Amino acid sequence: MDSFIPLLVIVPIFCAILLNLCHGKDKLVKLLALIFGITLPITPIFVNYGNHFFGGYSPLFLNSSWATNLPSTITNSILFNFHPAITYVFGGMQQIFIFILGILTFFVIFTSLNESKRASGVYTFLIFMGTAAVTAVFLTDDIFHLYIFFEISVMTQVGIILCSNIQRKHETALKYMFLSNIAAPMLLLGIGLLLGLTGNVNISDIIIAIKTGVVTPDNPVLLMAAALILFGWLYGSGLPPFHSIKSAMYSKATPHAAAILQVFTVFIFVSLGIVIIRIFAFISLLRWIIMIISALAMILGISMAITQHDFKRMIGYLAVGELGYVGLGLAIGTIQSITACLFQAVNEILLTGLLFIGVGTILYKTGTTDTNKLGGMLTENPFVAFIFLLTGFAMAGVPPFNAFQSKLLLIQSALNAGFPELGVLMIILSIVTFMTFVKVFYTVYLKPQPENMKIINKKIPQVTVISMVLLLIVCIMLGLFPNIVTNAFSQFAMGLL
Amino acid sequence: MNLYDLVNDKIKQIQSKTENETVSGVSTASYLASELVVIVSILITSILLRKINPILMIMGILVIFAIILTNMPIMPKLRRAQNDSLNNMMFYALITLALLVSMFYWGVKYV
Repeated sequence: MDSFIPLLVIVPIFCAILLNLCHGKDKLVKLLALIFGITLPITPIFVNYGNHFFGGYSPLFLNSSWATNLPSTITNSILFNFHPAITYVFGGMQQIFIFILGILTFFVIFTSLNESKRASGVYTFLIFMGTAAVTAVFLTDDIFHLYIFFEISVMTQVGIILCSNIQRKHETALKYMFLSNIAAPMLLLGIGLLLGLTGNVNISDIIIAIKTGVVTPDNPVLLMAAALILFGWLYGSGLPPFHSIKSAMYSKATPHAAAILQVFTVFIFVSLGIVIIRIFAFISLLRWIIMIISALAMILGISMAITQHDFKRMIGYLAVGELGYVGLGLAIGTIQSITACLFQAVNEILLTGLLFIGVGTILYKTGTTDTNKLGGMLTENPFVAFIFLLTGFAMAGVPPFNAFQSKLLLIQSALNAGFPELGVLMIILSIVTFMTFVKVFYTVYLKPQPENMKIINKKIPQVTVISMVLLLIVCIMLGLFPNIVTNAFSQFAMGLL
Repeated sequence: MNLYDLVNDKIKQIQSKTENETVSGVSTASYLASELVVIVSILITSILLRKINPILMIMGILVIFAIILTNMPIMPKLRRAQNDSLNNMMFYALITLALLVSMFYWGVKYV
């Protein structure tokens, strides 16, 4: 048991509360936010792998001395394996994801503090709170605990949208809340049904209960629980039919806020997706449904992206499309595909974050993200344009960037698993993604500047450019040395299956 | 009338109701590209049905092909269906919920 695992959640929560207490003292808030921001990627490096049982209540099978005086009705039964405490699990896969989350959160805080004069306020609080929530969602082995932090992450996402100064943000936030009122209770109902059937909310215990026959796998209530939890997952991840609202959320947020929102979404997608696969792996229909929905997300996301003229909305739809790749990896369900799925998720976090921060530079100079009103930006800052072009290439899967490796691995896994059509689909949609970037690059950077376009005569903040360069370096590193992450992901996938 | 003109007219028709913008060559080309992508992708995805039953796949592809042919251009309609209207979003969310529940309740034994 490692006592430091909860620090991964406690540190951002503590920072969020501290920033609130220091409201009004802008310099202090900036300093604290930067100090705590930099601890976020550092903490997971120093925390040991293992399980943390809250309150110290570990399962009996791990502490056989506790079981010596207990009756055989307990020691010889399923109770011997049950987890009495809320459990956090921290391994190589969780370490990589939380490290990447920390990096993105730090860059988002770094750029947002640099761009805004007033550091105080709820925005930074919400970013830290959201980071804590998705970290908890990722670490926990308790499905009700997961739900609580899922709800907190939804609240913080709505709050982050409301902090922007974009028109009609309230309307979009309210729509997201309305849809949340349909999906979140369904997720809770699904968890409730699981609790009713198995008497437990610990995910490992639920799996044991199903495997040992405490619950029959064809129990209709169990199947309903699967359907409802899957529906909650679609909402949390922004997969169809929730892709429109998710992309609208990104478009109503400030660019750095959109960057962190998509990280939260990918975290919810991966963590809840893994939980669904772990508990309901015996339902073959589930994999088919995830496969169809993921393919639909790719088709709708990428085809809608190319028709958009709002830069942020376009990236929002592309983010949905890229999530489809991750979902396909999960649905194929082999060690190779799950490794590729996790690698693609990390790449999506980095690349979409980088693109949103890049959009921020356009918005900063022109005050608009409407590509119809933009043009000729190449002369303004050729270096940023070059980074943006490379990011577009990376997202489309051009070598030697990271998404090339993950998409290649996904296509190989689809072929090896006997799904060549999915491989073809992924290739076609990667080409369309490339086409979308060519279109955007032309309309924003190469097209002659429209007469009525106004450019602010201020330099793009160095902090933003540094963030973009560092993120791009991480993308290239992962493209050249994918083993940095794939070894840990592959080990996790082996354990999962 | 060729497909390009058809798509162009449809975009103008939809945009005149919702947006006050001119239809550029870039936007029409984008719609045309996405139209082809949607058609090709849906047809390729429907090949997956072969894993359930080859006859189902043939029937499925024929039905999808017929639907596509009778509804072209699809993309402007698809975009109109996926607007930011809360009614639309609620409708699709509830339809999905109903489909999921029905499939899990009745469909598990067939796959």
